[in-house]
Formats: sequence, structure tokens, C-alpha cells
Amino acid sequence: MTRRRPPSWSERVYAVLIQLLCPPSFRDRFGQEMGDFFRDRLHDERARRGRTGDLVIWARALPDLVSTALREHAAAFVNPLPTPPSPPSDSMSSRLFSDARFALRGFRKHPVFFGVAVLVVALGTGAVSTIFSVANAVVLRPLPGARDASALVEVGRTRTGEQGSLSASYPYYEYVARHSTSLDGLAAWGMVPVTLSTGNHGVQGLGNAVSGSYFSVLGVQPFLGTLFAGSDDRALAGEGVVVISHAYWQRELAGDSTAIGRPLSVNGRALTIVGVAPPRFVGVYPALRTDVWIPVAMGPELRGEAADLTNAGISWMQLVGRLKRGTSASAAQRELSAVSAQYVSAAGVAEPKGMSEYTAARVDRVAGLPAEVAGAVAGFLGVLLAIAALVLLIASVNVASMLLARAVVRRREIAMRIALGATRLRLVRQLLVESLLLFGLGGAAGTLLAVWGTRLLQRVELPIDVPLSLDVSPDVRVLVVTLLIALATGVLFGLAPALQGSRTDVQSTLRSDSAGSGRRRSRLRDGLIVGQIALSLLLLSSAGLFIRALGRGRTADPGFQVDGVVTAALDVGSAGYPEARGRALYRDLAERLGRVPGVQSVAYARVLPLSMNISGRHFSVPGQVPPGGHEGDAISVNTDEVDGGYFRALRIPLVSGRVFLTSDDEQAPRVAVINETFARRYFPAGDALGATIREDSTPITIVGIVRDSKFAKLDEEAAPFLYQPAAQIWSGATNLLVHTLGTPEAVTAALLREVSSLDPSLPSPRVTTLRQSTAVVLLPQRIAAAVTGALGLTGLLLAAVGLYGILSFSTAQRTREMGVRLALGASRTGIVQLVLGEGLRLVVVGITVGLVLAGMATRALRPFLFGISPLDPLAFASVGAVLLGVSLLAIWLPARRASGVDPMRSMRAE
Amino acid sequence: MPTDPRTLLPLKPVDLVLLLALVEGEQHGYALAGEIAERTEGVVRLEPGNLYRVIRRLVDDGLVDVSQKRPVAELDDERRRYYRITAFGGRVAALEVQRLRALVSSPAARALPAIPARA
Repeated sequence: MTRRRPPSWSERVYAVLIQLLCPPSFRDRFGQEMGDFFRDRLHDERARRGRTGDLVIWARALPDLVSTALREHAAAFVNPLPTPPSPPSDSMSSRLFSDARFALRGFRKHPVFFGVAVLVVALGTGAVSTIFSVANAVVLRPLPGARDASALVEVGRTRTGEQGSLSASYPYYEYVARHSTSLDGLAAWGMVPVTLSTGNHGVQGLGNAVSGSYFSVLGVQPFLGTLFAGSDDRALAGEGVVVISHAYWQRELAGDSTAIGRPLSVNGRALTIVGVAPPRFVGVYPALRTDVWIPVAMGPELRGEAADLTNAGISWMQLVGRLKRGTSASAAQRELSAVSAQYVSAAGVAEPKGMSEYTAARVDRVAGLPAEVAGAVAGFLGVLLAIAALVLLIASVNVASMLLARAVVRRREIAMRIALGATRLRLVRQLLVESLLLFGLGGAAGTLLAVWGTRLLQRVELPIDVPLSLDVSPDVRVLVVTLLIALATGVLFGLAPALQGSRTDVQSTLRSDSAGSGRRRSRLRDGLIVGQIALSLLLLSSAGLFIRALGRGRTADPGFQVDGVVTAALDVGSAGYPEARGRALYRDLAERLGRVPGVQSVAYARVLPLSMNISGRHFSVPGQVPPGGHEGDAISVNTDEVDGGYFRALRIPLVSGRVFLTSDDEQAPRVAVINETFARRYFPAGDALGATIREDSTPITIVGIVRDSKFAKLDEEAAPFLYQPAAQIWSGATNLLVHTLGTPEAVTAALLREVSSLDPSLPSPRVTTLRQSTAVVLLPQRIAAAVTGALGLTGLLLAAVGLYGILSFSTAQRTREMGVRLALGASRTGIVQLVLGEGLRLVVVGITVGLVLAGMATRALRPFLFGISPLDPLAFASVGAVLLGVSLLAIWLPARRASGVDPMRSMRAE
Repeated sequence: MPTDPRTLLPLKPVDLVLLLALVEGEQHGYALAGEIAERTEGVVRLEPGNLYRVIRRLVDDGLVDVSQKRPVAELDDERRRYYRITAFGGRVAALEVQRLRALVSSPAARALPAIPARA
């Protein structure tokens, strides 16, 4: 058997750990074999799970190794007859062991020092660990509940020069699934808003219409019953089956195991529950709470035209595939691009012009988020992680300076040990073990903090209208990373104090007394204080900038009325209403609400502005050519479907022409209202009003021009926008807007009452205010301000404690000097000034360095600041002032104490 | 090293499982751990450290020793050590099994209700 490969990184680390931890008696007999065992298992697990195998192995091997080492040490201690005659005291591990024992003894003697240091490390590692947990859950964790998720990829259509991708139409999916050779199966899924009900009253939820290959491609096993499967999707149409999520099963069916075979009403249609998905599986984007999975063939029935299986022009599905063994994502991307190009040119594919330009495919590893968003979210989390790392840095610097101070106190002890024959290496190791223990314990406490912190985070409700179900609690990966970070910082920040501590001039130290040699303040320690102040300034100024940005965002004029508008998301389409009945209900509801006292106007819009929801359509405008296109090609414009009352309810002023009238209905010729930018850009001659544009071949007359308003982002450039009458384009899902002079609560109550009196089976809509629903665009700033603020204050606190500690310590060391000064006639004020001056020097240097650092770093925040300068003087000045104030307090206390020295006593104490 | 096998009773469950796994043939460590996991349906999973601690104890007590024989050449990896059960170990295991048998067939044990295996 030839197994002689070079040992992997994991194997080497394992071998080193055996050497370090296990007592020689055990290690010499079994060390080699344990290594072999570890290698064999590594080999097997990697074959089974790929790279995650390493993680699994380490998660099991580390505790095993530690407990083995401890027990064998204990056994060797109880029964000291080592098989080989090497004395245990000579081995590296036993020496480390005794070092650790020694350190623990020291900690017990100074519980306050030790407690504070561990707490400081815990705060730092806790911050990193919490943010990393979130990043881990959102971007790093492979699809939970799926088999071998590392081989899963998302497939999207794209075209040259475009970053984003296009969803797939069902015909595209069928074509690619049939022709691709690089995938071991491809599945399609599309979101379907659903109204679910087991009794009379419905609940809104999210469904996925999935191809028959979905569960098998993802490798999901049923928790109960079966998961539908089959290569012929259309055959599943008549079955009327539904798979429910584990959470829905628990929530709505009380986890009843007889649920299989029971009926469940989905969008008004009775389906049969055939299976329950496993608890951890919640769909391809785990952040979205998917409640049910239905066969794709039922999509049209439940969602109408928007889920058509035959129309190549309707792209509503996401594709997920499993890479063949040994195929890379980039190879698959090349192959699928070729297939996409074939598809576009294949006979019988009737795609609209805009779509057939998407001849390439894009293949991304499944990341738990849509590939386009994943990058941005990862970037944002990266910024937060960097900020958390800064807090850890401050904490580490703080502990380093504490260790350094302690090393000074222990100078005599250390000098004594050197005199007794301890080597420098031995001393450094002793001090290093101490700091490792400190950081290790702090890291463990930090993970506990992260468990608590993530739980807190999960309780925060986000102002978005999609149900979220994200499990951000730390897992083994977070645990391992946190401990590794803690230990690495322990080595990094323990080394300098250890080196300095061990560099002691034995003769002079032993000869002189403890208090007399305190004057020499270490430059390193000063540097550490300066560093802490600079870093907290950096953090706080980021927080200050985010807070300023939030203020700007709140007061920014979006171009429409935000206050006094109550909104409700309605969806009669998903409740099984056909168009005519749906329209009638919406009309009745508006009429009834119009009679509620205080209500000024009632309107409908398919999409609310600034709700992170945007959709575009293609129009051909006479004389206008899209960039890179040909004469007559369609231009993509963002659109919304609204009724005539919309502009009044939101106070969007009409510039010229008219808004929609009740006469602009299905029978009437198509009309549109455009914004000023649309008019200016596409009709530079000013002849927009009355002009005709086309969607495919349907003529649309422009009847009005309204003022520009924000639609996607608060800081967006004004872009062309087009409104069409909701009466001419039916959508079962819409948003109701009620402009009221009364309280939102009164309207909310009336709204819920009227909806349920019109149709008691309709789910109660989620009612909110426009102010709240548009707050979602400020979400990144809110999160960033909260996180940087919390972390910045932690940093400031740490820096203040550090400053106070160091100054108290150094003045205490100089008690005798102060006594002499006072005895020689120095005034108490003079002493205060002396200490203050010394502290202030550090603070001023720290603030200066911090300002320079912040000036360089905050530039990265520019995209989040709504035009506030990254060097905003207000933010910087106020942060500088806060920092200066807190530092002054931290300096003042030791200075006052120093001035209170009794000269007689301080000198007699020698 | 004790000479009376009875002084070693009762055995720890892990010890017995390991001895039983060796009754049918000698094994090296990794295979032994796999065998044990299989026999106990995954209940006893030995990580390397723990496994060799048990082996150390059994070797020290004379229940197990390192085999001198090597398996057929092509299956052999010359670095591996194979463990086998000693005659003394066999007697201890037999006595332990006997003890357990007596325990299981006692009236009190029989009176316990049967619990169906989970599907």
C-alpha cells in the first residue's frame, strides 16, 4: 500500500500538538500511531465531505487531545513510572504544564488584575466573534440541510459587460438541464407569494415552485413523508401535492406527525401535504423563510402568468446545480455559456429582444444569498468585521500594557530567578504561557459573549416585508476561529511584554529597592497607550460619520410625502382571486377607507418607493438608441403601476399634462406618466407630452409629466422613471397607500376591519407607515452606526481604563519621587500639573495619530454616507472632544492622588 | 501486573468492547476504532487520544499486547503496530461476559419492559 504522501498541514499541526501536550511516557509509545490514526481519518473524511472534513476532524480531535493530555499527565503524576527513563521535568510539555500551573497560581494571587484582563480580552474577541458569526451565517456557511453543499452552484444568465444576472425562464431551464454536461443535475425554483390556511383564516407566507429535480439535486432528505421528485415536471401538475417546512409544521400544525396526507389550502387551492422538509433546510436562500414547496407545474395555477412554463419571455426562476465531481465552477461556466448561446440561437425559442442578448452563463458557488447581493453584503460585513477587529486590537494593546506593567512590578522576582539560574528563554516562555492562558480564557469568555450577542441580534426586527429566518448563532467554525484569533493575539501581544520583562539588569534591580527605580517609563508602554487612543478615535469617528449620515438620510427629501401615509401590502392574487373579483375588492376597499374620518386620499401602487424593490420594463422611444444597441431597440426603464390617486397621496407634483383617470382602464388606449428626467433625457426637444412610445408593439401615449422622486436609493442620481395605470396592468399583489390627517392607528384598525369584512378568509395584511417601510434604505447606516457606536464606546472605555491604569501605576511607582519633590518645596498644584502634563502628552499624540488614521480610513465609508464628507468636521470635532474629555478624567484621578502624597511617609517607607 | 483476572472485574464498557473487537483477529488502531464504532452502532466513537489511552491501560494490565506476526505483505504497512488479545485478556473478557450474562438473566432484569428499537 503506498500511502507516502507528504504530510498535510493538519497532520503536521497534530503531530506538533502531540509533542507539545502529551507527557513523554505516552507520546513515545503512541504518538506515532496517533498521528497515523489522524492521517487515516483525515483521508477518509476528506473523501466523504471534502474540505469541511478537516473541520469536523479538528472539532473532534482537539478536545480529545486536550483531555488525553490532561488525563495522561494526571496518570503520570499519580503513577510516575515512565517507561523510557527520560525524566518528565525535561520535556517541553511538562515544562509548559508547570509554567501554566505557575501562571494560574499568579492569577489567583491577583484576581483583580486577572479578571480585568480576561474581561478586556473577552470584550474584544466577543466583538469579533459576534460579527464573524453573522458573516458566517450569511455568506460563509454552505447551504444547511443539503448534502455536500460545496458542490452546489447557482446558474444565471448574463451578457458581456454586465455584473448582474438574469433569472431563468422555464424553457431556458429545460434546455440547459437537457444539454449541459458539466452538471450532475440542475434544478429550478421560483418564489411564489402564498396564502396558506389549514382552517378558515389565511396566513401570508413564501412558497417555492420547484422542479422535480430540486430535492434530489440539493440532496435533501424528508423529515417526514416524501419529497416529490420526478424528471417530468408537467406530470406533477395534477398531483396537487405540497411539501411544508419543518418550521411551518411546528408553528401551524403543532408538529403533528399525522399531518402527512392532510389538506393545506395554498392560494385558495386545496393541496395534499406529502412531506415535511428537514429542520435545517429552508431553501436555497436560507435567510428567506420558505414555508412550502410546490411542484413547478402548479406555478401557473397559483401565480398566474408570472409563473408561465411555456413563455420563454418570463424569467422567474433561479437555477441551482450540482457540479460533477472534478469539475470546477469556471469550467462549468464556460460550458454553460456555450449551452446558453446555443439556446438563444436554437429554433423555436421566442425570447424578447432584450433577453436574447443574455448569451452567457454565470456560475457561482451557492452562497446563501443571490450572487449579485452576496458581494455587497460580504463587503459590508467585511467593514463591520474590520471594526470589530479594531476593538480586539485595542483590547489586546490594553492587556499588553497591563502585562507590561506587571512585568515591571515583578522585576525583582524575575531578577531573582535569573540570579538562580533561569535562562532568558525559560522566562520568556513562562511569561508567554501566562498571556496565552489569559487570552485563551478571554477567548472562551468572548465566545460566550458572542452566543449572547447573536441571540440579541436575532431579536432585532428589520423593517423589511420578507419573512426572515436566519440562524446566526455561532457554530464550530466560529468557535475555532475565535479561539485561534485569541491565541494568536495572545502570542503577538504577549511577546513584547515578555521580552521586555525578561530583560532585566539583575545586579541593579536586586541591589536597588522596589520604589526607587520607577522613573524609567517604558517607551513601549507609552506607545501602547497612544495606539489605543488613536484606534478608539478611529472607531468613534466612523460611528460619528454614520450617525451624521443617518441624520442626513432621515431629513433628505425623497421627492414624495413620507409622513402621514399608512401602507398595507395586499395580495388577493395569492388568495386565489381572478382579476375581475380582485379589482372589485380593491375598489370597494378604497371606497370604504375613503370614508374613514381624517383620510385625505387612498391610492394603490404595485411597488412602494424606497422599499428596496424595483422593477423595469423595456420600451422603444422614437429616436432613442440604448447604449450599444440599434435603432428601434428597447430601452430599459424602471416602472411602477399606480392609480390616479397615487400622485396626490404622495404629493408628487404634476409638472404638465394630467395624471391617470378612471377612464384609463383596460379598454382604453395605453397611457403613461413619466418623470422629468425621462422627459429631459429622451425628449430633449420638450415634446414628450402626447408622444407615443412602444412596449413590444403596443403603443403607449405619454399623458403627463411629474416631478422626479427617489425610487431605489436616497442618494441615487435622478433616473428616467415611468408610471403606468394599475387599471391597465393587473397585478394581484399591490400596496395600499392611505394619506391621513388622523393617527396611523385609526387607519390601521379601519383597514384590518374592512379587509376582513370584505372577505374573512383573506390573511390580515401587514400594515405599516411609509416612514417605516422606507426606513429600509437606511438600514446599512443604522446597523453601521449602532455597531461602530457600540464598539467605539467599548474601545473608548478600554482606552480610558488603560490610560488610568498606566498613569496610576506609574505615579504609584514614583511615590517616593513625589515625596521628595514635595519635601523640597514643590507645590501640590505643581505635582498635579506634572502628572497631567505627562498624561496629556500621550493623549494629544494619540488623538493626532488617530485623526491621521481616521482621515485615511474613513474614505472607505464614502458610499454609505449620503454625501457627508468622510472628513466631516462636525463628526471629527465632537469625537475628538469626547475623547479628550474622557481621557482628562482618566488622567485627573491619578494626578490628584499623586498630589496627595505625604512626603514624610513616602520617604520613610523605604 | 495482576495475575488473578477477577481483580480486574468489572471491566469498563469500552475495555470490553475493545477486547471483543480483538477476539476475532488482530487489528491496528484505526481499523480497531472503526470496528468498535460499527459494532456499537456509532455509540462508542474513539478518537485517537482516547483509543490509545485505553490501549495503554489494557497493555499495562496485560490484557492486550503488540502482535509479532505481520499480515500478508500487500496489506501491510510496516509502520503500523497490530494489537492482539492475550490469553489472560481472553480469560478476563470471558469472565466479564459471564458476569454480564448472569446479570442480564437475573429476575429483576427480566422484569424490565421491552423497549422497541427506534426505526
